Amino acid sequence: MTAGPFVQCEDLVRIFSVDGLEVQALQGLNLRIDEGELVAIVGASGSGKSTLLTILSGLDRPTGGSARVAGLDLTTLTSRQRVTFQREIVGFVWQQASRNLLPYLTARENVALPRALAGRRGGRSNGGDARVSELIELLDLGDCADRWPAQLSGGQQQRTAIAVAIANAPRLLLADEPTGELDEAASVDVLRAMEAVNAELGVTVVIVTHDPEVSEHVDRTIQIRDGRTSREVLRRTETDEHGAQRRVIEEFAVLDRVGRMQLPESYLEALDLRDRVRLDLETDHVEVFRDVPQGKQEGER
Amino acid sequence: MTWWRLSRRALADQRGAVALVVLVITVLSLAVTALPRIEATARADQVRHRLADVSPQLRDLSAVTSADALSALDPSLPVTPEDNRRRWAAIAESFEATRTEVSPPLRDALGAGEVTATTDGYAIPLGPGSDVRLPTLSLAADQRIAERVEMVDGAPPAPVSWDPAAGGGGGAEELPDLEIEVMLLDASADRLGLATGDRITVGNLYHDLTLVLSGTYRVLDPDDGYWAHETNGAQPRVVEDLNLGTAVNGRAYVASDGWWSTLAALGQPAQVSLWYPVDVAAIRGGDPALLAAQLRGLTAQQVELTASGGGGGGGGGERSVSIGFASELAVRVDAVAGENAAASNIVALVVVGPLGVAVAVLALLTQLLLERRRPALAIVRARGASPARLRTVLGLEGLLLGLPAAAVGWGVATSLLGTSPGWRGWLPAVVLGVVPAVVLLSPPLPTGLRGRRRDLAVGGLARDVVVLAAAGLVLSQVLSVAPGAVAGTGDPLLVVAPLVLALAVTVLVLRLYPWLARAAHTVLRRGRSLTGFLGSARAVRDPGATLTSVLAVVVGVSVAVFSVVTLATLREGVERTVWVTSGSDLRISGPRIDAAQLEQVRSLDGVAAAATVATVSPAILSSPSASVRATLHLVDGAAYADVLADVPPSVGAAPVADLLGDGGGAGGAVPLMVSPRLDLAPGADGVRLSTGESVDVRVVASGNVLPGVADAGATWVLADAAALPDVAASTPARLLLVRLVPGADGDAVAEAVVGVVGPAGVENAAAAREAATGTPVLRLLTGTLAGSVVAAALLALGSLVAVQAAAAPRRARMLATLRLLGLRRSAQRSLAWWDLTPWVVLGATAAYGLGLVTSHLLLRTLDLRAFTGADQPQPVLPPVALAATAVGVLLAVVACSILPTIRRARTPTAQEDP
Ligand SMILES: Nc1ncnc2c1ncn2[C@@H]1O[C@H](COP(=O)(O)OP(=O)(O)O)[C@@H](O)[C@H]1O
Ligand SMILES: [Mg+2]
Repeated sequence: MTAGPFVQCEDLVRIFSVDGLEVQALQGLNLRIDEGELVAIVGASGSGKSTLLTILSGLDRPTGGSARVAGLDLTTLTSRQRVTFQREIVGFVWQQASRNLLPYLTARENVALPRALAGRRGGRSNGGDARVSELIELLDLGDCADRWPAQLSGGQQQRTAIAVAIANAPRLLLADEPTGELDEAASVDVLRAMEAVNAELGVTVVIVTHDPEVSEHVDRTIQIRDGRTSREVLRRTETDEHGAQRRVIEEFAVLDRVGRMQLPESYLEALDLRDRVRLDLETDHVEVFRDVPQGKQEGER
Repeated sequence: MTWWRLSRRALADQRGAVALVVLVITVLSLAVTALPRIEATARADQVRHRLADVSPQLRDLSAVTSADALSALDPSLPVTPEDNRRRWAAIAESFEATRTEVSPPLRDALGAGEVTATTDGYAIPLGPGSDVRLPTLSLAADQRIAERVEMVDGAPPAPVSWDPAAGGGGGAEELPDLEIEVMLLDASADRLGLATGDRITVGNLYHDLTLVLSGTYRVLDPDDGYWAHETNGAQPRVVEDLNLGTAVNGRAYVASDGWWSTLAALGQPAQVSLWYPVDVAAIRGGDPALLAAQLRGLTAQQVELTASGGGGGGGGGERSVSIGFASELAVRVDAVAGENAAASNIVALVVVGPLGVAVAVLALLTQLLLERRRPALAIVRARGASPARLRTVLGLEGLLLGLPAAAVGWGVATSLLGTSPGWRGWLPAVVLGVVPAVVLLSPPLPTGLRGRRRDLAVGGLARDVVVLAAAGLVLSQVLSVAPGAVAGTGDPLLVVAPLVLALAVTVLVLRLYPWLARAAHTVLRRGRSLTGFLGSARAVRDPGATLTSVLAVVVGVSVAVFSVVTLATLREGVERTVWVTSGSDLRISGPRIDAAQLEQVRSLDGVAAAATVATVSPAILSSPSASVRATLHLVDGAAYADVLADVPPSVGAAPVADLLGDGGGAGGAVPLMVSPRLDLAPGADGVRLSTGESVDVRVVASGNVLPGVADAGATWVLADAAALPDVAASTPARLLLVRLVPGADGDAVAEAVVGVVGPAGVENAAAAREAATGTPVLRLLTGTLAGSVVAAALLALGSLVAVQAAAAPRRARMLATLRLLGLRRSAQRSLAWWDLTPWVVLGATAAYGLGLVTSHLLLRTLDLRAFTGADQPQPVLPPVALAATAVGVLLAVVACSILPTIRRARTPTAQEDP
């Protein structure tokens, strides 16, 4: 285990071939997340978010590049390491309850399942495990713990899924559009639950979403475009010298190891940047100019 | 939450599919356990059935040797009764020892050995007023004769008390006259004019021999096989000779305790018969080939009888005599073996296909189970279950599904059939029981949580090439077999031929179907029918046809057709044989039948027509190129044709009526009909027939068989009696064919006919038909064939249901979407129709053709003569049964395609992944 970011992806590539056609879902994605962060990943449909999460959860292998979580190289995991990884380091929640919960187990049994799989069954098989009860408490599932998934509301299902995901006390929780099928109120519940998991248990949380609402709940929003991380938005709450709090929002473009970055689309349009640009290195910043042969130049800081 | 609970919940969640898998395994296990046993039993029954007809004389393993030779077993001269008994014992023991050396199954069938001895006949004085010109008595002895006879009067003979050493020690000529007590069969005594107490003096070498008749006996059980060997002991042998007069031989039993002394005193040779009675009912384990080999081993060479040295006064050491056994049994056993082998071949042919598909359907059902389970497995795996554990659990679940069900099937079969023949008996059931585990374990474990994308690819090109190559190999093998040549245990290539050919057709259908679907889609896309467009699009993009399901349909239909054709061929073959041999309802042979008797027979109740046949053999048929021996049959053409009125055309009866149409007019040449064996074309010139005198003849036609008279293998010639009046007058008719009025009682009419013509051999066609179809293996065969039609139908149907079940979630989702868009109910039904019907119809049609082709190809290679007599039957296409099969297939397709709309396939839960 080396020091460094908790989650680190470098030049991550994932190519699917379907019917002889190649689909590049990830095209050299770079990502760093530190332990304890609560991060949202946003991006248009088809931009590769789910693909990234599947790789981070150890369910899929990248075609190229590297992905490390908690110092483990996900590209070279042996089958045994992968099992340990999934048992101890990562937990995940998907958009659809049917992929999170076994339909023929009650909510409580579903929560107990990962513990049983990891051989951590505390009490009786019925979920008499103290940790299971704790989780049910934490996620406010007390009154529906003994129902079948089909009898739960969407929000309850997703909260159960979160409980399942963190049952083995993972260090990383991945959630792929966990609120995608929920109404606003339920969404807020689920997001609160995630925040709680992050804050109270210190679990690093990565949420993939479409939902602009989500951005309000997280410290950092990473945007993916065409299989690459393009931008990051940081939000922090600053307290100024007068004691007044204000939300600071900063936008960053992501720079990869060799120096590639994506300019936001709106910038490209605004300045009609195309094909190539002229760069000027100043002492503390880089200037990007539209390539205009006539010599008429417009700067941009 | 333990693994066990998890499995239980998962299986309970799919109880329908689980129950189906368990049911299929149970039924299959029952079938694979029961069928070999039923077959083995039928084979063994067939051996007993066929051998039961063989007379004991031909059947029993018997040897004849001389008394002199046997005395080597006990060389000291027997004087006292003890000495005599000792010699009998030496022979019996060594004979018994030989029997115990034989290994099963033959030994089980060999009864305790019998030893009898007899001399040639002594001529005895002619009785006064007796018609017997040559009365003789043979002296005979058997130690155990007393067990088989009872005295009618007098007493059993006392042993002779005579000491050859006391006779002065000189040559035989100095011996005193000898007096021996004998007993005779009462009937023999009667025939020879002898009575108890009579003293008969006969000449022997140098002195007189007086036989004193101490009593007469009667045979206790005339049906005892023993008397088939000792015929003269159970009835006097009477030989009527027109020149010499009547000769009668009686068997005079002397006391066995004095037999060897008597022989020594007489100085006469004697024959000793030794045999082991064969108890056909005791033949176990239906392997006639082994039995025949054992019999051959015993009859092919001399067998040593060895007596241990203890017995005689002479020096110790081994003494032996070699004897040669004879038995017809091996030949008969071979015939049954051929029959059994042919039956087994057919059984294997019709069983392999459905069995293969049954296993495939089982695999399909288990796959369905796995497919439904896939999301749950993916979750469990993603939540940290180790693959090894998951596989172990799946494997155990598979075994849990399979083994108990297989055991139940095995148990039911075993308790129903009662036998338990070792490991071979349970191996098939175990293999079946393991199938679910293998299927559950063979695909890679599901990874990832996304549904797999279904592609259009039909499957490996390599697979198809292998299948087609195998089919080519099998086909060339089948074509290279000479018709009717397969007799032995069956070429494995031929046995799997139906399955391999079915696989090939399946592969072709799978390759062809997308093209057809695409073509249909191209047409329907332009059309105005929405369902046609949607349905064909689905047929192109998401074809329900999988290898297993198409295979099930193809095998189901082709096996049904094959079985139907084979059954019809067998039936017709048997029927034909009965017609060829009987020719009519009653065939009466033996006594001379004159015109008056014939008229009387015709007037009997129940007789529709009757004709007599007179046979002249040999008759020489000479043409300019050759002259051949033939058998001439003379009939009243009109009467014979009338008798043959019911004979079906498939028998290939000679067109007898043509004999008459030609009415002897043209040039005085006698019209004839000849067997194809004689190779004479109709109208050939210069043909003459001679039976003492020679006449010009004209071949009118050549026909295959003369029903009831001669088959195609015989060199027969048929002429109308009126055309050859001289020959007819000097040849009495000894064969009578009778056609009955429909509904008449054959036995009663036969009795009445015998009342007219005197004692005669009667063949009743109805009884013959019953006997021919009633043999155990033919019953097995018809049972298996009929059963295979049912099994194949069920399998095909089952696989269609399974396919529909597998497609249900996807179809339901599609229909749900379309319903929202306002699709009408009727349109939904026609969409469901598109799922199944096109490829099933394509597969079934191809399979129907395959069935017709394979039945023709394979029936050619099977030796059916064992069941149908002389000729290898041609495949028969029964129109009604074939049409019924086609209709059945159609109904099944219709049923399956409307099934989902009736059942309203369970709508999947909203969360289920697309
Ligand atoms: N299993 C797969 N097989 C083939 N293509 C896939 C697969 N998974 C994703 N893709 C493709 O990869 C691209 C990115 O998909 P995904 O990661 O699901 O995007 P997002 O979650 O951002 O909507 C898409 O074009 C999608 O079609
Ligand atoms: Mg996605």
